[in-house]
Amino acid sequence: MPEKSPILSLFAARIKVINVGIEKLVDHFKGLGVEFVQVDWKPPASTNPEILEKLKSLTK
Amino acid sequence: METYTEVKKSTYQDSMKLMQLQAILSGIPGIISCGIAMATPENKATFREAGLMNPQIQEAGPSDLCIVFQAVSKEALSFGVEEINKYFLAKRPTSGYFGQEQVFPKSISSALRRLPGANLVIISVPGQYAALEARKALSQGLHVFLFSDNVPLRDEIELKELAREKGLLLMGPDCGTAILSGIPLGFSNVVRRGKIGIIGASGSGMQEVCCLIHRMGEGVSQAIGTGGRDLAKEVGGKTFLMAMEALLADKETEVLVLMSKHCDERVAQRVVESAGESRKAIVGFFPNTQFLPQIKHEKIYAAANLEHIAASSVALARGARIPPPLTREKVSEQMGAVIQAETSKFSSEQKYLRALFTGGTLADEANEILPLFLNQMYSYPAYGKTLPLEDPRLSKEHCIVDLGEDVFTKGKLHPIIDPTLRLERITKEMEDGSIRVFLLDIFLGYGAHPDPGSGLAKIIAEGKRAYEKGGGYLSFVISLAGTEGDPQNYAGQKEKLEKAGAIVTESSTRAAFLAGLIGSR
Repeated sequence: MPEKSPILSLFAARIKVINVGIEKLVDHFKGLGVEFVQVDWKPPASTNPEILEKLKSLTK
Repeated sequence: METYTEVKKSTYQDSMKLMQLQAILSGIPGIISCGIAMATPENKATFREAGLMNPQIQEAGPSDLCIVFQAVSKEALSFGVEEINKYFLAKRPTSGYFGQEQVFPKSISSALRRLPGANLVIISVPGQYAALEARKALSQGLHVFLFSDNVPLRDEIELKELAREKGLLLMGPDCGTAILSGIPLGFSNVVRRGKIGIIGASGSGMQEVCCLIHRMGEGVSQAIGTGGRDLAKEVGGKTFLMAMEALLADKETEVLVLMSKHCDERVAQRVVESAGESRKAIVGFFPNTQFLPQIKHEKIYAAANLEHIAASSVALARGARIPPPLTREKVSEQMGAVIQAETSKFSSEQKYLRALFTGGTLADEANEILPLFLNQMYSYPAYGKTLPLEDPRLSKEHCIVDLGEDVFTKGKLHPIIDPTLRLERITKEMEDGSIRVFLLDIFLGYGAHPDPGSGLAKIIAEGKRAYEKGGGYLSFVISLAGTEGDPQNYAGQKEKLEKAGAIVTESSTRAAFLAGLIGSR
């Protein structure tokens, strides 16, 4: 694995977090000095499985 | 009977907050039943089953929050409405670091603009949406801690292929714990930084091992959760392999621990063999497999149980000989006086051992150890040498139950967060005077209940008093996973439990052996 692989870079860096979901999961970060931002997430308007699949493929 | 329904349009609340609000409402005298959930198709079915469906809820969509409750009186109803209003008027938690209220970003992309240099996305939205969010994160070059469960297998495979393509870490799905460069993620503990790198498809097992390593005086470089399914045949250990590659190259890591629950043997073998000619020592723990001892490699060691994983990796980190694993003979010899004291006053009605776990891997460990002592053990879920328990809600004879299983946690908080279900179960089970010993696990750390010891100590003391009155003696054996750095105060929790009369052991492995010896005497 090359020295600057993304995972080795993650190990060497300070963790900076984007939280999508349960706010309690990042409760302890302030006390530990971990920078984070909470996403105001909402489910997609459609629960139609075909549309959800299309959304997934758009982010490929 | 009065019924209250409210639909808050476009108001998403995370599952933990909803369950907390549900617990508040359920605690109001006069409120008979309540349902608080986002109006997804699955949740609507649950409302229907609970007899709480009505036209307002039927019309609501997955972004809408539905609150329904039934009360015995108008007064109880209005208390309920007051609590709901109080809850929604309370200040929203702020984003970290900035420390002031602000509009939160609505997507990972806008969050990345708000926090440039962000490198990890934690995802815990419902399973059917989690894959989409994980894909967005990976596509933008971000590593992922995917806490959500119920992510379809096909999505897991595709996401891990994308992660591999981009060289990114995807921990999960269904990953409950990790420690990245000293930062605890999910349910995890304050653990000294050190030389031992852990990769695990087993949340509670990893927590137990991390805590033991710390209490034995060594530390953890990284603890990488892979999600429970990573070593299944279809997934092929994709996250395990990437994490291995990284830890083998990582200068801080000198010893590797690879651990899982039930897994595909060939996949596990491929993972271990991917270490190739590496000089780093590897301790492996794949409980349902036979391949490890066959591998002729001087640096690859097979651990016999959870305590042995920690003891082996600590010994290797110190350049010392690996100690032999705990056995029933050893525990019997070391704890003879305790066993004698715990078993000398049983009444003739006391027959059974009941093991009630919050950690699945610890329940699995008990499934391996307890049948060494007791014939005919029932278990939920069933495993190896134990018989399946027909009704998971009803213990039978000698019995092991994993209270973290879906049947108990659907729509409810996990027992690590909310001990109520287990406390009620212990109270109910000890009523008939037939129990010799309860075997329990407690997890401290971030995400866990702030004071699990107090409620349990009270039940223990009450149980012991009741059994003493009946001419018997009720034994409690508890493994306490945590460190002195955890927010719950490890020493204080241990003291409360011991003062109530419980035996608190150093490890879950020792607890299982001890409970087996007490239960079979």
